[in-house]
Amino acid sequence: MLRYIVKRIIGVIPTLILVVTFVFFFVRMIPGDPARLVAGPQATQEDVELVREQLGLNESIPKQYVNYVSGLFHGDLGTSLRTKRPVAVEVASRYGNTVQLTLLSLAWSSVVGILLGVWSGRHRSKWQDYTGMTLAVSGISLPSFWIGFILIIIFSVNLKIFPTTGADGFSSLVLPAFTLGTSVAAVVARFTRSSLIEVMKEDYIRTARAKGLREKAVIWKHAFRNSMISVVTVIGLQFGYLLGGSVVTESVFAFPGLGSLLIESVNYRDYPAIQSLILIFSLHFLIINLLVDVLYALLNPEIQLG
Amino acid sequence: MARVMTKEKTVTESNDIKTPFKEFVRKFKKQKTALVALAFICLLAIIAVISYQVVPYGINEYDYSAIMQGPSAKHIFGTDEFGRDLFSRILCGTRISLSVGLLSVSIGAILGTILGLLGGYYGGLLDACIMRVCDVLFAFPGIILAIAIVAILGSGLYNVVIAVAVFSTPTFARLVRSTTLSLKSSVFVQAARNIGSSDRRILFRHILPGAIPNIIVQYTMSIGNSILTASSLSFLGMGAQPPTPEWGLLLSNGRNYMMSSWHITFFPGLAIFLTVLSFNLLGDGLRDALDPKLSE
Amino acid sequence: MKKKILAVLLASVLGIAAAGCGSNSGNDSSGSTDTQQEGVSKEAKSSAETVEVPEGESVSQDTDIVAAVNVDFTTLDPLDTSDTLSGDIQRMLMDGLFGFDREMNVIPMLAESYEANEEATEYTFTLRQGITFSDGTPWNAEAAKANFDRWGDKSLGLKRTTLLCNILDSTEIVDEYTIKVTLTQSFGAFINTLAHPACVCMSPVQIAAGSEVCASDPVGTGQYTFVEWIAGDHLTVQLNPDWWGYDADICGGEALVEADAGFKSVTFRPVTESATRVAMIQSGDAQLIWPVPSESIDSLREDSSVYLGAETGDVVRYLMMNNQKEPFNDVRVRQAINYAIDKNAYIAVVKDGNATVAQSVIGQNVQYFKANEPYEYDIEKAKELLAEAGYPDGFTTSIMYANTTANQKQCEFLKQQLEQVGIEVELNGMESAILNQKIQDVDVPGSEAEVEMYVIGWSTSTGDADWGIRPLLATESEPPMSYNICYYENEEVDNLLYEALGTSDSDKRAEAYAKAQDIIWEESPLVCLAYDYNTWANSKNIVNVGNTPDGGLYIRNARMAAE
Repeated sequence: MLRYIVKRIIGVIPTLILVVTFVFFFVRMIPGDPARLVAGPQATQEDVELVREQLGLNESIPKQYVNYVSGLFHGDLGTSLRTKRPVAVEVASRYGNTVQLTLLSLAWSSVVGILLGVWSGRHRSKWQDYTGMTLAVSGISLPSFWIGFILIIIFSVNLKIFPTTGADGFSSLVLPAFTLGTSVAAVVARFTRSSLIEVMKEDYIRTARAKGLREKAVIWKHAFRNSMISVVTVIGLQFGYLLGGSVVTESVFAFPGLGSLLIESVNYRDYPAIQSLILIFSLHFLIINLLVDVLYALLNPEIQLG
Repeated sequence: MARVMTKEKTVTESNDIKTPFKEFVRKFKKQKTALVALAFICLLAIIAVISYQVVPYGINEYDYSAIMQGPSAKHIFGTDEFGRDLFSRILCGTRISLSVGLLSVSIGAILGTILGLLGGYYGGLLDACIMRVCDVLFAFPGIILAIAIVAILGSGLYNVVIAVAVFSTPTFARLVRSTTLSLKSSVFVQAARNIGSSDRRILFRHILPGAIPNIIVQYTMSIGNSILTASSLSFLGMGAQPPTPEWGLLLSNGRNYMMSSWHITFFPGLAIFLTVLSFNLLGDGLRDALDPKLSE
Repeated sequence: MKKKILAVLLASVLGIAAAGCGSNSGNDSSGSTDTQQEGVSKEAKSSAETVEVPEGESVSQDTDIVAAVNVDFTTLDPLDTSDTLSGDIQRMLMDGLFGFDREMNVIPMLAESYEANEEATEYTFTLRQGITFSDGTPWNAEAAKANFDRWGDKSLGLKRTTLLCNILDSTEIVDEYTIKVTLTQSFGAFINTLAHPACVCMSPVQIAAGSEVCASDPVGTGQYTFVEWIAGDHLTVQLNPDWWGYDADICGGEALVEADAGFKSVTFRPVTESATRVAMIQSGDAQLIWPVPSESIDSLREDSSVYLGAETGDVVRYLMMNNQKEPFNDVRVRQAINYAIDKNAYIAVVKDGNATVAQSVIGQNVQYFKANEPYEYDIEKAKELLAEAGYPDGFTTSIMYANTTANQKQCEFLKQQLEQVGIEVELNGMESAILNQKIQDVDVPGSEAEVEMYVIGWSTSTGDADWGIRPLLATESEPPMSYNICYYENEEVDNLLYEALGTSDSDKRAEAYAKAQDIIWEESPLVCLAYDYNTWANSKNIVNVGNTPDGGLYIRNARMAAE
């Protein structure tokens, strides 16, 4: 087991190196001159050159790459071109917000997803199943910005229950978390349903039923518990997806998180910030993938460790 | 969200005596919502083909005297900010939105299938390279990858198609690879190899058909996802260009009117919702019918 | 006296040209207000009802407000600021030697008066007395010198360093409240430049601490003091009740603002989504939003809890044509395009009625504006001209633009209009960073440039005709130098522009600019579409919020009625 984990961790490293390198050159392929963008719309040529020098953009690209990578080894994410503050500082203030939002989205959507999934699964091919799954799948069938605006109109403008924007406390997280979680709820519901159906066909469920256990007990005590493994896996993977996938939702709710920082950074061609953000997203994704796989291996002894 | 599908890789050969296809039809017919979804998609397909001939108004028939009118007998979905008939534009937009979905996912599916087959079958360095690239692509959140690609290529529908194709490729590659791996060691592939079948023949005659059910399910579900991604890109100003009646563009351009004229965003939103929902429900139904583990 | 006029003239001409604070983006743009017609236009376009706040009864100083703005802040260091919004907030925290009033007239702030020599190379400033920075440091000649030295320090390499670093030679303390500044060359625009937002004065303590401190913790003498800035979330300032602007004695007789004006604190939230910004004022989450998207103006005007401000600004919307490229090198084609576009429909459709038809290449409140008869909407005449020019069946061309929703709408309209005369237009929208590069970083003759048509909004931030015409249409301004994206080259216009620059005689300048405007109107190197409105919205019980002519937020004298 330990060997497997170590092997997996080592396996992450080349991927990270590839991501870092790929992103470094990729962002520089995107047309647009950061020096000009930072200097502002009506800067003179002299201003632009001054800014370019100040930002270290006049150095050769290989040199910039070496600087960047060696900085990374020292834990230095670089300095934002847009604000001239360390990227780590820019990221730190927003990271907590995004994680909060992600966790809250994940929490409600997991609960709702599981409930819908179990409901659909145990009433397979009956009206409950159709209703439940249609409801769940609706969550991945709406553009998130549309859901966001509709929520704002209903709950902020008309009912004035939740604030439109910001990240101060629970109430400001409700609307964005709802918007963000709908797609996760759908995915969780789907998986819960199908794994429940799979489990329900197992012999021990038949045995449990034969013992005369109440249906509720059969579902929750036996079937659900055994289908949890794959459901947990899916929820874990969604965490990584949510972290980076909130770009649109964050901009609708003017949420001070990593997604809106990314958009802002792309607009300014703020290379160090883009690189760091994508590195962070990738790192999370890989770590969660790793955790999920390890967990999966731990919980399911049948799986082949390869 | 579609990419988690790969986690569920469930591959078993069908040992049924009945022909697999008949068996599939029998099972699929039980999927009521999927049947409704399929019917709706067929309707969409028909609309996509004939819309330009049957719509009451041209898609670019401007009428500055009838701006932003609510639904009426004359314009059943109302008119937009240029006085154009929204009903006609949405109907004609069907072709565009469906094409974006189908085209991008098809490219992704074909590329991914080829990469997955090659990687899974030959293994070794080729496989390692393909999977490493997939890992990198996976590590990017999808919408961010699409943004980056569109930023490089420039905005516009074709580039949206390419962007969505690129980010759906690794999902298919992984899916097909895992099927290939398990089929490679199966009895009938070994047998085929023993009688001296060429690699190409084995890949396309023996392994690919085994992967087809999974590909179909993934394909159907990805279409919905790609229509949504296209609309998100429109929201970020990186998608289709006006006056294309692409649904995502209609929706995102109408967002400033949401407070004053509900119909401007309601109908394009509804069109997107129903279409994506149908593809997702169809995908669910197909999976239920195709996956032996889920069979009743 | 003459010296002073010259100074002011040159100031508007050169000063801001160097400072560069116009707007070239295709986005919601800044504009300036009409000083003469303000009262009239306000009634016509802003919300009809306003509240009265009797003297001394404003509750604003006990009220915290939230203001939603459209961009994120970049820095708090004035010398490193290139966006209007950051500059606006810095001006609340820090005062300059000179500043602008709401109509953008230069007014003395931390300087009481000045004297200059004939050659405009030596300036002696008498400083206002009795003012301290919010950290307790007194405002005196030493503090002023520290600021001048910072402005002249090229090694800082900040975005606005070139504003003064090549001009300043030395600063000398004459006595505690007098300093003498020597320049490297004659610079009549000096006073206007000192009124530029980049030249607000910081506490010498912060300056000594270095640029990083200046960027994160600004300390000035302003009406507000800095509280905190959480990047991407909010920036908060709080009232400085001891601000010298409230003190009639320090102000020399009359206080700058009313004693009960100003808010207890203002929290600025960057909200880039226009629709969300509008939702914030409607839900009461914000008490002030700026700017308002034109699509929402009508619904906000009808909202009884909101005051909508809309004034004709000096942002002109243009459709530029590359005059060196076929077919736009033929004046008849350019005129035909001008005839083919219905400006009134443009305003009704694209601006939802919130704009005025353009009558010149510059805004109607800009100094030396001369009205011309707008090209009427005449498809037949357009077709005739096209036929004469050899394009009876029209031609195919493309428009480049930054793909904001507003621009997409605009270009879609233009495409439709030009189709009526047989001109097929391909819409080529792109991200503004890419557009900037494609349009600006081009060092080839116009005939080889990629751009065919282009939409742009431009505000004449100095209020002087020069900044409204020269950067857009003088030969010297072709990319990459400036914004003559029309690649318009007319020697006569060039000469008129230089002639007007070289004289302080107001009549002569007016004559030259009038002639230039006539020629430009006739030759139609660009289509002047409309003058945008400046827009903002605030809670009904707040008064005296407005936009300065440079499009910035002006809330210095804001007051609030009790609920």
